[in-house]
Amino acid sequence: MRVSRMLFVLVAFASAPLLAQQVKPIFKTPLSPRNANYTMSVSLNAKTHVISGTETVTWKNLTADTVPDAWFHLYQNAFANNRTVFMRESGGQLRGDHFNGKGWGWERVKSISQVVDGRDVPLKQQFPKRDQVVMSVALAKAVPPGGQAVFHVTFETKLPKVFARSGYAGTFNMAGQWFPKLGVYEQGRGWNCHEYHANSEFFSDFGVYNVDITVPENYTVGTTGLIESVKKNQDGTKTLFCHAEDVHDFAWAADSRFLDRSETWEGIKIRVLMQPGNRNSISRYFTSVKQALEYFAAHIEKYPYPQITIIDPPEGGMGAGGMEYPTLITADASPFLPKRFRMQEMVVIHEFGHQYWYGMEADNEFERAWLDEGINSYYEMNIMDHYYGKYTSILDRLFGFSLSDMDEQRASYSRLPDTDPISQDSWKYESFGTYGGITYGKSALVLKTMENLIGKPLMEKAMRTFFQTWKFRHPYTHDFLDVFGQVAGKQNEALMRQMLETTDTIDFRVLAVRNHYVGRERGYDLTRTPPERFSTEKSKKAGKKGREAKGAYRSQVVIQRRGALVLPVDVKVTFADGKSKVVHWDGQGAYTIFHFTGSRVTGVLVDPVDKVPLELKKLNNGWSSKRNSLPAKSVGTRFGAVFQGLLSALLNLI
Amino acid sequence: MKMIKAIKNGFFSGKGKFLCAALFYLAGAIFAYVGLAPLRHGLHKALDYVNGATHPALNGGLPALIEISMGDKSFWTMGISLVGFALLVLLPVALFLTAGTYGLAAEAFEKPVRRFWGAASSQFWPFAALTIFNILYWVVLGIPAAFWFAGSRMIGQEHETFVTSYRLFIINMVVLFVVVVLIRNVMNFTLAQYSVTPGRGVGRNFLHGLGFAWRRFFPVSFITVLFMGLRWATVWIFAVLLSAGFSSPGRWWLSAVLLQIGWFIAAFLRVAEIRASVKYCGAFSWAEPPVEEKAPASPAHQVSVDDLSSTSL
Repeated sequence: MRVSRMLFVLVAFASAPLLAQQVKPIFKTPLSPRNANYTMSVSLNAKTHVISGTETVTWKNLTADTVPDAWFHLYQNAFANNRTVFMRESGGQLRGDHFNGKGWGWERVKSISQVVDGRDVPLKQQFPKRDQVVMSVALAKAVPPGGQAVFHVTFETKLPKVFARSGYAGTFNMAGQWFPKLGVYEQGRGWNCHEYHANSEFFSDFGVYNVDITVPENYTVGTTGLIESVKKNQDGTKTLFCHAEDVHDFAWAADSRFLDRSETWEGIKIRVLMQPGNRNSISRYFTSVKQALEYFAAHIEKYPYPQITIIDPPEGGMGAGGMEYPTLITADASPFLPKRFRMQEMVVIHEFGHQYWYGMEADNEFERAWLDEGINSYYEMNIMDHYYGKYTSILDRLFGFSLSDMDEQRASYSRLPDTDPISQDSWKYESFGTYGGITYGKSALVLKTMENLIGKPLMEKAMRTFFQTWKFRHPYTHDFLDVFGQVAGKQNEALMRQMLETTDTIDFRVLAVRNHYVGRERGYDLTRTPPERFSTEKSKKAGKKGREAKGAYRSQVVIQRRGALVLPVDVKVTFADGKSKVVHWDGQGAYTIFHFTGSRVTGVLVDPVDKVPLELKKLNNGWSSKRNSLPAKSVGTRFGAVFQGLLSALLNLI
Repeated sequence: MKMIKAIKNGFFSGKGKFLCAALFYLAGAIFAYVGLAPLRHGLHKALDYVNGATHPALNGGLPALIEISMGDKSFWTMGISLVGFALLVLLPVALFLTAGTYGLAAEAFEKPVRRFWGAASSQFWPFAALTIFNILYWVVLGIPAAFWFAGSRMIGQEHETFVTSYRLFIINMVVLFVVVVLIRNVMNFTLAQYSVTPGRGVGRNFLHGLGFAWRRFFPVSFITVLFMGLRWATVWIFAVLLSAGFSSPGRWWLSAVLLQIGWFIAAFLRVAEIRASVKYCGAFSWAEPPVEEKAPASPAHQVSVDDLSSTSL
């Protein structure tokens, strides 16, 4: 038994590189450092949902440190029992999906060895963290700066029932974070290899992946990268050879029910693997991916990979939906989703955006998740607004109600706006809701506010420069701020730093509006020599209209700024004679007073064109001397109609 | 043929159908107005003086609600405080109006208004009793349905290779639809049975109505499904398709008017359904003529369909 297993392992390890050599490169010149390369040969047992196989990991030390050990993620062990860090933090539920208490998963390294001088030296596994999600090995031979280590690993992964991103649901299998994967070695910091937290995603190095996947013959498979070839086996299975370059993860999905559809956009293949029941939503996937491709090509740079694959999970596997992997995303469709409710589009655009903010700009999602989730939410907001309208991008007049992507971000941010800063370790947030509201919502609003402040062209330049400086690398917040400061100036960098690294908030409000009627001129006119009494006739002639005449009123408009964040703002002031004026406040001080002479002030609106979406409360931004009941009636009417419908149903029931 | 005639009758014949529809519509409108008065008050308080109409971000309706909720956490609690009360009070009113409408449909009368109020007051308590019987019938029907839904959920979770969740969802929708039709059939025709033959006693009438709904399952279901479908189509057209285009504050009144027309049509369809049910039920009431005391000396007497139609239709 042992001999046959050893033979299998040797054949597997020996044959994989041979297969790899036959592959035609995707990129002529590497896009990334390619310091963590994986060659794997795995098979899926469709009945037990166990993936077993081997991997050869070749890791290059890009730092100036000599590295004595290696740390690996065994992510699926997060679902091994109810004592893991992930299960304790999440309470068995994530993004509304609940763990059923039965479909546990696990990941086991059966053997690991380091290749030293051409022979395998077995390594002893250790588990330095609170659960077995992180495995470390002391190396048989330390890796010097610029040197490399090669590991042979045999492993087995039991997928859990779909709950948090990966797993199985019936015949659907989503293999995400499914193989022993190296952490990231950071110079001076050592291995950055965190536990699987409920509020965090992942972090790893770039490389080339050559992966053989054996699945039942009737299964359709979607993977990171490209499927180069397929070989049918005699035992009713097939083996797919997959190849991906310059990516930092490898995910795949297999299902016997997938509908396989493809389209292209400017030479890029868009492959959708769809659940049959959702087939009427396929066009929505293609359209939204093309929109995202087009927008990113115009505003950042063209998507460099030859393919993007979209996986549509089944009804019972929605926990796997809405997730990003390099060149592969999972989405979320339903045949019952009205076209005016653009949740499906939003999810696809968001997940595709991660190909840039996560896929290529590969930040540390454990420690600074805003760099992908926040920036990506900002782009999601821009793309949704661009293609579907600024005020209707999510909900387009459905039942008379509209909602924009920005409204959605504001709603999530406003729940607990000042508990945690944006730039923070993911697991330290007050709750999952706060993590979402701050990392996604507040970050997006901060960037939008900054865009409005410095202008779209400069903001685009800053974001593009950041991307181009840090693509295929691992930036942190200070790297972003450095680039931002270089492009947008040190003052804006300081402001951005305050918004990212503190819990400071901002809220403008109209504190007071005072109209003082000066009345007719009385006393002496000092412009005359000698001074003369003002004529009473002249003032009487002006009569009632004179109250609105020039100089009749002296008005004060007091605008207050609450919160420690200082931002400039426009204020639109409307007068009784129908004219209006936009005045500017630099935001300095706790409040400011605007003085006007002439017609009395009848209306004030702070931030009239929504330049500060980060602001906490919008309703205290306005004041009107006249009642305008239209907005309330408009909203009330729609609620009334819905409630009346409910009562009608009740009347009809009896 | 009887079914077609009854449906036609429900739509086009008889006096007072618009009166009944108007009362149904008004009851819904008034209670909706009363129930949502605190919410409207809250909206006006929050939005009337804040220049909201000129703020583009607040125009969609939902953003305004989000902003209000951010500023005032008790907004929703206060706003819907009367909704439950309105629903509770509406129940007896609904029963009263339904009793009147059935009564008016069952008997031709020169003065429909007087007949409506007479039937509403005289049949209120019997209808209340019939409604309780009907609720018991729902429970009987609901137990296996609940078992089905619970079972299908388990199947969906554990055996997706056998039946996919999607298919289960479709099946569940079909099951739900059938359950609703079965409930509506019995509700409509037990009340119709009582209206046609009120002197027979509530319990006996309920059993007759129940039996009738099951014996004549297909035509009865056709009437139910037809009117249910028409009502849903009306709601869809008016509340979803037409109102969607008029959600801006400046056009709120157009939205309001269209929705009111929609609800009035829905009310009319309900009245037409009641009339059609009563007519259809009445057309078979000759099968069980009222028991009459035998008069030994009188000649043999037979009840003809014509006789019945002249009295009860």
